[in-house]
Amino acid sequence: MAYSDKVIDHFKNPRNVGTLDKDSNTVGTGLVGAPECGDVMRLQIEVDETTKKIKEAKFKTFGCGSAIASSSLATEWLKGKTLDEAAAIDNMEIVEELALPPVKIHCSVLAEDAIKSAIEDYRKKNQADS
Amino acid sequence: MMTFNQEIALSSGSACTSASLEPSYVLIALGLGDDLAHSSLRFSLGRFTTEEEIDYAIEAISKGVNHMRDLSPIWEMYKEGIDLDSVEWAEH
Repeated sequence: MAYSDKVIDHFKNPRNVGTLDKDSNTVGTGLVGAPECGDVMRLQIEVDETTKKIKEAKFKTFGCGSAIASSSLATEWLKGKTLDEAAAIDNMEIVEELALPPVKIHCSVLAEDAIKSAIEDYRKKNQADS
Repeated sequence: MMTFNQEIALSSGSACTSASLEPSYVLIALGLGDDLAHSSLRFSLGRFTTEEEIDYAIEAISKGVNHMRDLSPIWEMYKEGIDLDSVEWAEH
């Protein structure tokens, strides 16, 4: 089973690798997965306080090429979206975009979980006006 | 493994358990935990393998590991001195 060209591209040239300040109130952090499972994703969003849109997204992932590609793709899709739009991202859209085989669908599910976890973290920190 | 798959013959898991997803019982018997046993790589050498090829593989492994570390949140946490065994992972 070969990785698709898009997965290989994301693996060799990952987008938005990095770290945002998790203590900042404009940042939401999602950390999902477990080392024993072989996949850990950390996805962070920074929300613009005026527009309430995601202006920055960063990720770091420990896992296979499909996991890295799924989270890399997620950060690309998140930028410019509102939190509601981001929460509506469905894992099957990631599967389609990256042509993930059935055995790698769980990587896209984990990415969707990471997005939702980051949004929840941001909302918890900003309970007054989310 | 994607780093290597064009140039180096390697495998995850062992030859003796190649039909299953179980980690090598040899590594487990040696006392490796599941996490190390599952993340081990197998490089097979044969009578035609040259020293040059081994040096090439060593270079590639080093680059590959560093690339993976740059992408890894676990490596970042490890470098910050966080005790990874104490973290409550949100398992899916």
